[in-house]
Amino acid sequence: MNVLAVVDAQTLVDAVGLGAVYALMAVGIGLVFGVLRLVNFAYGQLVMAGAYTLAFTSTWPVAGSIAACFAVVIALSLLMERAVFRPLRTSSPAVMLVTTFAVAFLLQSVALIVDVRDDTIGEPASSVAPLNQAISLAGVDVRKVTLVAVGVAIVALGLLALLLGRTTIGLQMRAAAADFRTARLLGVRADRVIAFAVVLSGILAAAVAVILTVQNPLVSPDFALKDTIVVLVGVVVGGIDRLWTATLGGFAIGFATGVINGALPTEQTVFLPSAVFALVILVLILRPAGLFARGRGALVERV
Amino acid sequence: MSDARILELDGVEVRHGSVAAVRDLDLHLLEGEIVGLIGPNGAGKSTTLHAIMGVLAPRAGEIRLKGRPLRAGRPEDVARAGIALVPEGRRIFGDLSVEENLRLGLAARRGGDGGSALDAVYELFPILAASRGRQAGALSGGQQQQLAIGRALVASPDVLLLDEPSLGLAPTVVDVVFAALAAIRERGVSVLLVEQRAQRTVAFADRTYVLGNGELRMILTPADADDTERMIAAYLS
Repeated sequence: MNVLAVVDAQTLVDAVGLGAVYALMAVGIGLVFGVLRLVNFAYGQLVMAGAYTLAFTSTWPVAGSIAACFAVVIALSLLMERAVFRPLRTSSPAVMLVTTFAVAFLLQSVALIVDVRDDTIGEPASSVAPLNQAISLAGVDVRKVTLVAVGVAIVALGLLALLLGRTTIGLQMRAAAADFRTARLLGVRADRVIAFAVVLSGILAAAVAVILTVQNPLVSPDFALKDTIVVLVGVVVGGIDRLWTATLGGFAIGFATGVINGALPTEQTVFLPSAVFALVILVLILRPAGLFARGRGALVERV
Repeated sequence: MSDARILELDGVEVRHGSVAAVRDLDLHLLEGEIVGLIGPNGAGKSTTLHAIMGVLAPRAGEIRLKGRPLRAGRPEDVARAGIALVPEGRRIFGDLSVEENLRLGLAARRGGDGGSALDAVYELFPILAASRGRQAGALSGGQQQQLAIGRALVASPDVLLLDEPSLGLAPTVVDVVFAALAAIRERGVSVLLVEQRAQRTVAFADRTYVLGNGELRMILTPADADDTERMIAAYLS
């Protein structure tokens, strides 16, 4: 069996698209991890909330619907920070992680209650569907949303790099990620830096919600759940201590998923998660600190 | 304003769990004064600084800056109120550049021109000016200490707290640090200096508090620096 022959241009285009979406989610998770040392398992439910917003506003003009999605996701991110993360800031990482599990399932349950009011599970989000049309480039079908995903990922990462590298708040975020305690002693406002990171991560979640909803217009309570698990694995594989290695990890696992998905015969795609996680285990055995980590990064103390 | 006490600790008690690290401590700084704080390891020197910064909450007593009580729990507010700390072990940001480290210090600055504050630090520590684009982690220990002091100074604090700035530095570099402190005194900044180098601190500071086992043992003046018996008594009492 010649695997390489199956990995054609079509597969690569789709794999890059998936990698871009996962990279955006990885940045969103990595930004909050940087300042709070908290792995937010509930990140997928922010995406889910955005997808439901798109579904419930699908009679609106597309721009209005997308704006509502961003507003809801950002508001929910800030609420999560204020109500859950802030009181837990000094707790152990295990407590924080378990709490984000609880938040994830709480949000999923709320979504279910809201969703089944019409006696069916799943809401169609039709207004953004036209983005899913394909255009043909040199014999390869490229869905418009793939271009949007790659474009959004490049622009978002570029803007983020400028923000972190050139602005005062970005400098303060980098310092907070390295040593929050000393940053606070210098007068860096912890609440402001954390809120800023949470808002940025919310903006990215909303963008991901739009892209994923275009690709999968039927929104259900477990929307983006599997993606979040895969991205979290990717983030750990890349090395969560650094934002850019986490992002690369997210992209890598998305790209690998896409390529393996294309390479496996259709009837064998049930083996996709096994194949991806086998690859992950291999990577973690060979490079325990992360695929892209330079040496063994020590965990930095939290606020 | 009673006798221009800029910083005042009044009956402060700080506990680490069930252990009282500092007990009933009265201490004050007048405007423009350099005050030393010495004592053996575990005497409560660093604990006192952490209580002032609000990192540790006093169990009893009050800490006042210009007559206003400081609230514990939010060190960023204490920094913004005008107290800057040069922490033990310097705690510079090794992955950031020298200039970025200094710009972080501007977070606590209350108005005014941040650029000229950076220039003033570069003038005080020319080595920092020469290496402003370098990664701070690549600096030598003495240079990192100058960076940590500079980073505190750009905030134009009313009070500068230093936690063992000479620790682990070569003797010639210690001279540089003390020369910098003398220059800082010229600018009218009040300084609370925690040190292990007892004799040098007593000779340098306007007054020096001696802590032992969490309690104030005595207050020494520069005249006591050469009185070896009194110095030894201060540590062994």
